[in-house]
Amino acid sequence: MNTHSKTPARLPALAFPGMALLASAFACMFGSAHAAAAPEFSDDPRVQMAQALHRDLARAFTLDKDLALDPALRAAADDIAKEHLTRIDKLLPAWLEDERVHQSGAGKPPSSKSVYVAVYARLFNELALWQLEAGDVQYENATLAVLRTAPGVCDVTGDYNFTDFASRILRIQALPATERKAMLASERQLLAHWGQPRANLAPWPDPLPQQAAYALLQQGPADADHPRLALPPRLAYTVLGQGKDYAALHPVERCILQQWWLQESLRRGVAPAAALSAFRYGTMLTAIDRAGNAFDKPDAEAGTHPAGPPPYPGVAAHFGVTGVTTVNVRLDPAGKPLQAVVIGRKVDVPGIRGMRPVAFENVFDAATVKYATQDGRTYGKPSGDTPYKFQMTWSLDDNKRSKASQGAKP
Amino acid sequence: MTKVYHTLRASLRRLAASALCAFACAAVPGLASAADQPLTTEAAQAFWKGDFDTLEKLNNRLKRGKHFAPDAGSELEYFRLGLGKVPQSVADHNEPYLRELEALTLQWAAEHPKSSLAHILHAEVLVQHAWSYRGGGYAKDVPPEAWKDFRKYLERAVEYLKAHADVALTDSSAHALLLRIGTGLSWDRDTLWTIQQEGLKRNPDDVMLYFGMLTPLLPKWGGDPETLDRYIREAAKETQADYGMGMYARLYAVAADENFGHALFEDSLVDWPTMKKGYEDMQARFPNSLGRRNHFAHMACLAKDRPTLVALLAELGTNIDASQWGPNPQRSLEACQRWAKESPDESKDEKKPAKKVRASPASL
Repeated sequence: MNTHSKTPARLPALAFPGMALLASAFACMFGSAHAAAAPEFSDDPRVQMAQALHRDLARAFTLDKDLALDPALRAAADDIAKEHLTRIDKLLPAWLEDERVHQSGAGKPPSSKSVYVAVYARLFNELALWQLEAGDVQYENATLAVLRTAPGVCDVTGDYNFTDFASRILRIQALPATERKAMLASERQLLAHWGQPRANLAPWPDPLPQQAAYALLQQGPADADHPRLALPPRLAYTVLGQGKDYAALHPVERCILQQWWLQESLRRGVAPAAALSAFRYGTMLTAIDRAGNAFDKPDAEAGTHPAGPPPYPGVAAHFGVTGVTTVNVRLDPAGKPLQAVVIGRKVDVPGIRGMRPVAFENVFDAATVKYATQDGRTYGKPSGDTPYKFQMTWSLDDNKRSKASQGAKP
Repeated sequence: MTKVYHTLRASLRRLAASALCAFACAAVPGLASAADQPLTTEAAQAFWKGDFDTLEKLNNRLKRGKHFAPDAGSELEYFRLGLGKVPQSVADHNEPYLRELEALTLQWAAEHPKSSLAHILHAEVLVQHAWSYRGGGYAKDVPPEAWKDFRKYLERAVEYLKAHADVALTDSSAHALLLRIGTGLSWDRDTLWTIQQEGLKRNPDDVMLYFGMLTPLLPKWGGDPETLDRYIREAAKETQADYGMGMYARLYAVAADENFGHALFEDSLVDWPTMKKGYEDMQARFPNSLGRRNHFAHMACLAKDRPTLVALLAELGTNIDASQWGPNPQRSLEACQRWAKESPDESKDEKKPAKKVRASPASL
């Protein structure tokens, strides 16, 4: 991975048309809260883009003023955040240049938008990789101890699209004060890995923690017939009392569910490392989580025939994501779908090379499941309990050809 | 490029809208209202989170000793009100919600067998489960099957507290809960009285036990004015060191709220001068209760004590709180304000002596 840190002044001149507008537009892409306080844009488009990227990245490292942190920990965390942003500020011009050069290899000059979006995707992915990476043994044990025992570690405040850093600091606050120094040192160390491939990243849990949790909850109340940990009241209210599915839960409640599932997994004898990995995947903010349906076309579903290709997810189209998802469909005796689960994800994302694009790997999941279980869809009669398995290929070429922003048939 | 900009601005608006929704949805049902005391909110928040350790710390601090808020309110009661908010929250699917709370509190009790609070919380959830069948309406509107479930859950709560009496009954909150259960199951007065006295032995400062014993003595629960009056006078005597005659005023005020309404001075044996002294004693000891001053003004109106009412309305000025003015409070307040402005000649009632001429055990 290219991590050289040339200063913008040493980079060859870029001549992307309309750069100023583009940079300011992307600065607003994920919210406007910081745009008002932004420094004056430079005339240099490379600087403009780096400033815009910095601003959005800073959102993930700005602790909300209402977050219940003790002042000493907040100050230490702010120092870490500042150091990290300074380091990334030095990398961003190089990343932009690296991307420009890479895209120029296709023979024609890249557009300013395509370069910018690719580096944006790379930042998203760095945030996600950071959420998944395990720390040293002490860090892992301390994190597990907190998640096992401490209520309230999911109570982040502020912008729920960018609570990555706050969540980690809140967990550290729940630890004995004597452990803080070592934990903060580990946080520094993990942040220093940005820009590098991570070795030994665990695969996606199968099933996803939230799927496993809901399946267990559907079996019945926590009693002698269904031994399990009871839900904390807030979750009991929303999940059982209001019948909300996972997607409808508030981000804090999703985190609480993931924490509860980690505790339940440990109670069931799951290896601590596996339980913690599942928690990390469960709470990782992916591109879909951060952007939601912001890039979907309002009428994408209209006129979609069940037999036809599904709409291409707006986020995936925006970032140019392509790939293949593998899905297992559980069928009733007549061959109608009962449940679909994505079991394989292989995606390519412009701007992300030499490392797993974890922030985008689930970008087709919802569309895949929806397509596989659509009303009226039937498969051949099942052979026993073996699920029907197929792959969906997501290609932007097909998308363009159809002019309907749709994915490929299975 | 301008088109790109506008498209992204639209995306931004959609993102902002979803972020706003996320913030709005962060509110937990029943968590807090503007009128809640901080301790009530703290207890409710801890319970919603499943933070038993915080609840245990709060209970250990409050279950002994005098813990009065500046307005004389019981901090222990504010804490209990917070605990009640969680099982009282009505969900679309109440049964699985309440069963989950039962399971959670039972797990807490298993993990903390020496914690009185853990056992009391489990019993509290069972009691709230009972009331979810009974509802808050008139008895005639409760289906027979619901009565069965109501009683079944109350009896389960009793059995549970009996089974863990060695731990649970060290804490007067268990006695406060038993008074509620006993009232629901129509236990006899002697049994309830014994429960109250046992609770006061555990915590003589748990003044809410006096209020808990009041309810079954009200006429609508089968009581009578004479017994009620004797009880209130005795309670006032027992609490004189802290409140002067304040408990007399407070208990009769509750009796008005729960039973007598605007007819307090007609249908009960309340003695207005004693009640008035009770309010003055409270004001001297705990001068920070606008709510109680409003209540005092309302009682002065019911007692037809115009000078006191006029003085209190003038004192309250813009601090009049209509919610403290009894049933149909806004109309009660308006009527009292009108009456206060009338000249004495306009009012026939003014010529009548106030209810202080009514036979009063205190004056006998």
